[in-house]
Amino acid sequence: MNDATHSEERQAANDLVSRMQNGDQAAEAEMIERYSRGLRFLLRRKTRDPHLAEDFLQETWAIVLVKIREKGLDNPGRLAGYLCGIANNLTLGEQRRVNRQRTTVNSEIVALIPDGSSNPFRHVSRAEVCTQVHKLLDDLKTERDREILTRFYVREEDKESICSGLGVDSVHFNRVLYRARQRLKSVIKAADRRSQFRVVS
Amino acid sequence: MYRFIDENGLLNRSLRASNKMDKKYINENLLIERYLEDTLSIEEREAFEERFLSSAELLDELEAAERLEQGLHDVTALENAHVTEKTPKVGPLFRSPQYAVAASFLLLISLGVSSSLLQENARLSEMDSAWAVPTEIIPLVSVRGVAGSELNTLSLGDAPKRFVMMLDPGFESYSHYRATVYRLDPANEPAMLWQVEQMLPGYEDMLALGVPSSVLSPGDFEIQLEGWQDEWPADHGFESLDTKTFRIKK
Repeated sequence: MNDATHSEERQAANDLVSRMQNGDQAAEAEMIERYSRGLRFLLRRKTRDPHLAEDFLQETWAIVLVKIREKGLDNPGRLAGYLCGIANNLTLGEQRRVNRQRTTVNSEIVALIPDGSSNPFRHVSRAEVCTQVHKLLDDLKTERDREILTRFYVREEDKESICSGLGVDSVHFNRVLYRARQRLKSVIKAADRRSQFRVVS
Repeated sequence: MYRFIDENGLLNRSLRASNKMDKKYINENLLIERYLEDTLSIEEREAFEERFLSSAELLDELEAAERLEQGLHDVTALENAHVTEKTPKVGPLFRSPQYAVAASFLLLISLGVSSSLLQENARLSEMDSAWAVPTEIIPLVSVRGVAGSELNTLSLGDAPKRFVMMLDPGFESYSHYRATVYRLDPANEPAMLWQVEQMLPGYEDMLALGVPSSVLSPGDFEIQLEGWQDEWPADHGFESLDTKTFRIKK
């Protein structure tokens, strides 16, 4: 989360919007490359449908490109916030509409959107994740930590009741979740790296 | 059809929230988990979405948490399915004559093996007692309430031993860590008892603090954990990270 500080992000967004307004097509490609992964995640969560999410991703870019080319943005430094607003409104609109009129496929935009399958978190199989989570639970040193994870993520109990039930404080609870996430993140990335090796005969 | 997008209004509302969303704030307030369960306020959600859109690192965290949740559901479902599948098959097996014969045979073998292992262990313990002490590994937890909670109570025992206390260094990374053990005495200032420097996280990112039982006696103790960054100037002090308490009983 320290890879782009607030001021760096605003500077980069200001720069991108300014270049796009001057007709720089490379800046448009950079914007799409920079924000597509996050927008895809957001849309996938909201729609629960990867295909619909891809449609909305394309539609978001179509709306944003027209807006920036024609009028620019009042607050270009907050480009990321503006993109989220457009994406969220598309999903809200979908919930209200039964027969939604899709925008026509813009092959120019489609070609610019990066392929989501290159993301290791999408690439590593569900079975592999299941194996790794099983191992992670086995490796936990205390039954209490295992219970924290299961009660929070599976039984969806709230943090306060888990902490009082197990006699642990908020800091310990947060750290168990944090460490489990870090561990899984590193094994997913390692599994993804391994899968990229190919035997060359 | 769409909610009206007032570009400035929409952005200003989340401006204050997004400015405070650094790594520490996100972890301490469980923003990742709360986003996934859709329990953030509108203001928090908008600011958080804006934040992760421009942070590959935060997106990694989000996707890892999402897959952890999915994996835990899958593991639990598999375990439950395994239990219900196995249960009806075990009863008839235990009642069969073949099981009785096999069990008797295995019992004879295990008796023979265990008696030979017992003799071997006795011989090894005679050899080892002169130079090795048993080690007890304790994951110290942060607990609610006052010092010396029952959760972190260790028994001294009669024979010398070594306690290895597993300490959580927290979310931030430091170049190395220092842990100091103090004896707590209600009548006096805490007395420094043991200190280990240049500690680095090991298994599961935990710090292992070894303390011989010979320096401890029944009572309450406190461990102060501090961090150091190599880029800091020499006159910069260690940064205090956490305090853990434990109790020693006879």
